[in-house]
Amino acid sequence: MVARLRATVVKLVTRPRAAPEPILDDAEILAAVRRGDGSAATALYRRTRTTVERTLLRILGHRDRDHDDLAQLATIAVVQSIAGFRGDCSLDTWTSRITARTLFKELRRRKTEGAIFQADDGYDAVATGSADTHRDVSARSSVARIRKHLGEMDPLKAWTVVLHDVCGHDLREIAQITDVTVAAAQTRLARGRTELHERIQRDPELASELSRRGVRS
Amino acid sequence: MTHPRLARLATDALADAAVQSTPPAPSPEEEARAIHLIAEAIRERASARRRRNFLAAGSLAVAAGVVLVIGWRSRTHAAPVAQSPVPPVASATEVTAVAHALTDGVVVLRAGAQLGLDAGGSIVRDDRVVTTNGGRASIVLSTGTHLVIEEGTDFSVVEQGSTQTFALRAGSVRAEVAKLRQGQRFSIRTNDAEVEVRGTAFRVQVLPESAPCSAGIMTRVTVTEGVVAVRTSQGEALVHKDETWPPPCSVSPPPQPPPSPPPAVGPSTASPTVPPASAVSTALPPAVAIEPTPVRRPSSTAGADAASELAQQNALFSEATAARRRGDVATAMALYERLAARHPSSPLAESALVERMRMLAASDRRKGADAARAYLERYPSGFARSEATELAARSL
Repeated sequence: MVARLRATVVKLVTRPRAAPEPILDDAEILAAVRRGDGSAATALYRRTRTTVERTLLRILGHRDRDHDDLAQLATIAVVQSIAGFRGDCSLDTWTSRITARTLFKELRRRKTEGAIFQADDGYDAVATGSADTHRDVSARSSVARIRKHLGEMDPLKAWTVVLHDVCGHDLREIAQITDVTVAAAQTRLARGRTELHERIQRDPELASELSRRGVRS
Repeated sequence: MTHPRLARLATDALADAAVQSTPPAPSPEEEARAIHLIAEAIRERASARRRRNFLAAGSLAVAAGVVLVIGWRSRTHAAPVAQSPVPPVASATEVTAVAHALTDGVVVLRAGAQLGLDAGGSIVRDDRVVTTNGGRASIVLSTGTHLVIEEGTDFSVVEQGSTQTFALRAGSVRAEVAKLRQGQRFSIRTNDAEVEVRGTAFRVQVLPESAPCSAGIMTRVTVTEGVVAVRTSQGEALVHKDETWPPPCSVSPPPQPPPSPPPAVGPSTASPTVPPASAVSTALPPAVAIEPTPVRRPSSTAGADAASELAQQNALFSEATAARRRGDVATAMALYERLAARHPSSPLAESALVERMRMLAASDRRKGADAARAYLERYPSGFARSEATELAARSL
């Protein structure tokens, strides 16, 4: 009995296991990409996927019809621009910046800037686990209306407001993303905020809803 | 900076919604496809870097070889034609240029001596590169700028420091200008204009004096990428991508006379007819802007029949561009395709293929990818290679 138990334990301990994927840190991933090691693709994809996806959703607020293609283009752009990454920010920040830039270029190429901020987000942008369903619906409606106002604004001003106030990019990064000077980005931000404020002022229902939420928080 | 209250509350609401959103997990197929494409991109980047290093090392080796040969010839040969003045040593801020003959019929004139370019060689200030009919040469600057000197051209180096200035007396040159650093300038002067850019691709041509519809201006500029500023005695005009300067004639051009003879190849004795920069600048009236107009469809095909092959190419391209701008995609694609098929060696053929590829990609991803692969096969180092690579990859 004891011998049989020991044999089972030995068998369990010595059973060959699938080799786990090596876990690479950022420096190892970047080094592998720089030296052209294609086997780093999996690690780079898993490391950057969430950041890329979140950046796309933050900016667009909805899943674009070419969402998967945009995500791939952004990740490939990260690979292509890796020589410019000097380590003065985190890989997440860098990835987010490259993703925003790729998205900006792609949407300008498509000439559909005016349609990027869609009112109907079609995506679970608001948490569904809340007990207060009414509040959820109201929040979703507010977000949709804000995006509608953004969609009616000058696209470059709307982009700048979203990149700065929603995504958290600073003016220098926005200048790089949108190919303008920092001063121009600053001007767009100020004018974009003012225009958004004025548009919401003319939408009393949204203004009061936002004010209520502002007081609650 | 002020942040109006409602705008702040609105962006806060968007940020809250974004924080609570969760990207859906990709399917295993999507994940595998994405990883495959990323691996391809990593390998492509590495091989592109190796190619660049190889080309840079090759250019250095060629340049070193040319310097050695020139030095050896200047010591051993006594004949005046064979005596090749050793190029002056470049200063620290000087931009170096290496020229290569792409065909026969290319010479460099330096201080009264005539040099061949069969094996390539560096060119310096005051050098003239002259191509006969059928001759073509390329010049690569250390900044990464690439110039193609087309046939029947007389092209010379005026300045090679932080300001890179060239003179075009006859013929035409295509330029792909690398992004310039702070304080750097790049310009090409002709007899009646100065074309200045900051990182773009364009073509400058000096027409023969009898060219139709010249209106006294002999220079023609076609911009394929970015923006260039063209300065003349009448002011400054900005020419954007896909535009030509000056705006085309509104009437069909009369038949063109036979092409002018190639520029005389011989020692440079006379001073250049191109005015110095100061002369061009002082001739400008302040703040006068000439707005270029997009290329228009020629009004008559009879004129185009009689015009030169180049005029036919320009007319086809213009017609295609006009069709694209008015939204007639089918006509535009057919015309671009016809241009590339009928004039495969035309400088506009590549642009035509790129435009066609973009239009196909916008309507049908698979056809766009096919067009991208065809483009890459024909122009592996073309100006739109990165865009084509992306389009080709998207269909996988």
